[in-house]
Amino acid sequence: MMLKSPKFRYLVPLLIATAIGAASPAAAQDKVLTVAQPGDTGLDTLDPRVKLSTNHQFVYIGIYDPLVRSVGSEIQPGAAETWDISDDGRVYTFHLRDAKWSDGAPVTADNFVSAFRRMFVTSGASQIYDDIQNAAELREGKVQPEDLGVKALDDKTVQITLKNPAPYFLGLASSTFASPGRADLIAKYGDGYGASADKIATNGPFLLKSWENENELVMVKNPNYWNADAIKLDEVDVLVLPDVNTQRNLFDNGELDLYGISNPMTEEEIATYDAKGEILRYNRGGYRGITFNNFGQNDPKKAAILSDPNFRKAISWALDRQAYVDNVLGGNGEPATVQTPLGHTIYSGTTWGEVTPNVGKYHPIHADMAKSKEFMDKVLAAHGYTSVDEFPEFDLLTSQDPSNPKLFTPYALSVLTQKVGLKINLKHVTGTQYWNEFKEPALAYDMCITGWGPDFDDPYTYMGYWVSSSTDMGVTFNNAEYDKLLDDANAELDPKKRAQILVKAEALFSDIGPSVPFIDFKGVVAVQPWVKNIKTSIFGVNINYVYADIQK
Amino acid sequence: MLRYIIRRLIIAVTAMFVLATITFFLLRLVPGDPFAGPRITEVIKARLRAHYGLDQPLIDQYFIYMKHLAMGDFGYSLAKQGHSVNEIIREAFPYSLDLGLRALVFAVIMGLFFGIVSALNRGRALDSLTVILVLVGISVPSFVLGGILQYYFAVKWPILPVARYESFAHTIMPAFALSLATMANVARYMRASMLEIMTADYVKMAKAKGLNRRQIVLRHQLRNALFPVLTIMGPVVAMVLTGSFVIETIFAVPGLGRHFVLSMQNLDYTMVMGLTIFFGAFLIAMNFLIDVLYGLVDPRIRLS
Repeated sequence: MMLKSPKFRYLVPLLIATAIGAASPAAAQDKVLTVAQPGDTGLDTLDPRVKLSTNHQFVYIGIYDPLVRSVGSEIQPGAAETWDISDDGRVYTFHLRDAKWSDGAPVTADNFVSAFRRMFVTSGASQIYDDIQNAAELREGKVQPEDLGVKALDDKTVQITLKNPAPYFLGLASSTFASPGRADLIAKYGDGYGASADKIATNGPFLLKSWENENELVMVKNPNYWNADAIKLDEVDVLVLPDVNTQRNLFDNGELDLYGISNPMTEEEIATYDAKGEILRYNRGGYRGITFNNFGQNDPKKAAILSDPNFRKAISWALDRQAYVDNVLGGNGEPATVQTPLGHTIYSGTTWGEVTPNVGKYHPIHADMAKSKEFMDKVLAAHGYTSVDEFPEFDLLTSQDPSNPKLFTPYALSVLTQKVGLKINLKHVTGTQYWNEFKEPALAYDMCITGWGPDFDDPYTYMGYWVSSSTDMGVTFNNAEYDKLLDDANAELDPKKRAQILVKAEALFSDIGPSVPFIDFKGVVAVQPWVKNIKTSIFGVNINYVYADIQK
Repeated sequence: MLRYIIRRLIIAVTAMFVLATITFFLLRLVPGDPFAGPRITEVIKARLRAHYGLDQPLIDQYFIYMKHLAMGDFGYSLAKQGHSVNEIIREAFPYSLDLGLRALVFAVIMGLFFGIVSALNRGRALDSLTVILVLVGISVPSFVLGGILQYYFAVKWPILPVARYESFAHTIMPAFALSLATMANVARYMRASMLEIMTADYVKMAKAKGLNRRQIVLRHQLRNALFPVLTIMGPVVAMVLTGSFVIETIFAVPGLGRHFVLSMQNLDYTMVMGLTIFFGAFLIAMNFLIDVLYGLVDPRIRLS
């Protein structure tokens, strides 16, 4: 296998001190955006069917053009010039424009069909596309790839048939996970497809110029891109900078154009950059909370307590969301009392916050220990205990995920042990172990610090994975009424009626509380003053540099 | 000498075999599945396990692995999909080696210098200064030192680049930060061993012969004092040259150090195996080299 050897010009004896400049600096008039790769390592593959993190998506939005693109909260044309939606909302027909891959091959409907088929065989993202006909069946191996509801009507037409009229489907189609792929190159390179710059083809606004996995990825403007006029940047340099302080130092020195993409900034940093007018605030999705295991790791005593809604409420009312946001996060967050952050769109022009009456109704913004005790007394009475001291010890699972808000686990732990008085065994594990223990088949947790980020701009992205059939995210919640409400919402074509059904589902879910919401994020990023037109999005890649400009 | 080398080689290969075997089985005792992730379902996980051959009996996996290992093939990484472990090491190691060599040369030269100077000035100001330096070097963790260096020399007084590994100027801070602990250790050992030798019979003899101080120090003391320092150099060289997680993270050097930590966190079986064997081989090679160097420094060893 041919290998790309790293730039290795400097293995010279130490004492021959020659200062050499950086490799091939772009010409002075070139507009180069320099950003840090989100996450603490470099990317391994640029195959959207293999790796699915938002860190990967950050590059995917530059090099791929899915059927449609989401820009801010808008869906715009991408590889498809136009599209039709059938009256029943179930059949989407996309008409592709004439476009070319980076290696000169034409972009065809087949590139999308093969990508979707492959998604359901190899990719963990496939679950979010289960609205597509025969999707889950293909993943389970029950149907043939040809039976999937994604078909090429001809070279330039892709037809996608859904199980139900999902009004958010264009958002899903705009996700970089649904970028086209090249079956011919996959056959040629096997596992190596997408793992290096010479073993991949792209069709997006930028071309992959060079890529040293753990060091630097360079994208340059694609002159043949259909919308090349709207692309102002000549080059995007994505640097691997695992240390956040290093990123900040580079930003302060003007060598990095954005700061705070991968890790939440501290309030002090926000204030500093705000004073210089370098702060960009945006509407960001995602929430963090505590999830409960109905089965209590097969211990009937624990299961009885954990699945009692009053037990969850006793904990929820002991959490002081507002105080945590104010004192720990310094205002950099929002108290969450429902799963869906209020900034999400429910239908055109209306946010979830304007529709839902459930805010603060089932879970409080401020702690109320008297109420917490009231709920706990009910739990004690129902299960024959006289005090919480008699409860068994519970496992609290958490990971060192850097995207978790600051001190969330210590705060939750102190509330659970000191305020509520439970005996807690803290299971603090690494990322991979966390998913191993949290998800099926292990479900090795009693309570778990969890979070969820949206896959599209609709409350359904926060609700769908809680249905009884779900095997996602350690879900142990089984409720026929909830399932029925979501099914009804999926079948409903009138957006306002659909919203009301989802409101009911949210109320039911909040009342039972299989997951107690805690906080939402506030989107904040520091941007150098010479960087213009950074677009932000509530889901997927929050910070979109594709249409950015540099004016120095 | 040839027989000595061959014997050492046989021992080295045996040690590597034992190391690989123990690591292979120990690693599988760690609970969990390397393919766990926020969205990976059981079906997808099973497909990935089958793709990487993890669905086969463990003993078969072991023999397959050892067969490939014998041919120098570490296999594919489980976490960095699409990349072979050989390729990852080949890309990352040169950075760590380059950084490590710079740090090492600096550490050894300065360490010896401080060790000698302080021993020759025992009890005086220069000696105390060295002792302080040694204390600082050993006790200040590299993430503190790295962070301080970066803040003062790149942000406050911008005379050096903040991070990344692109030119000579970029190498100065990480190399210095990496060298400090080693430099302190070398200085400490050199000082102690110089002091020990100062009262040795052959030094007294040299003095009695009427040699001047410079001749005594350079010809007799130094050569003998190097011995204990050489002993610690094997593991030190291996450690410094194979990368440091902290320094490489702070200064964004795409070296090997990060992989040692991340591969274990990711339960990346093949990567952990590859790195363990690579480091083991490197360590054994360094110790072997030191043994050969002993022979050069001390003729008595060549005979035995």
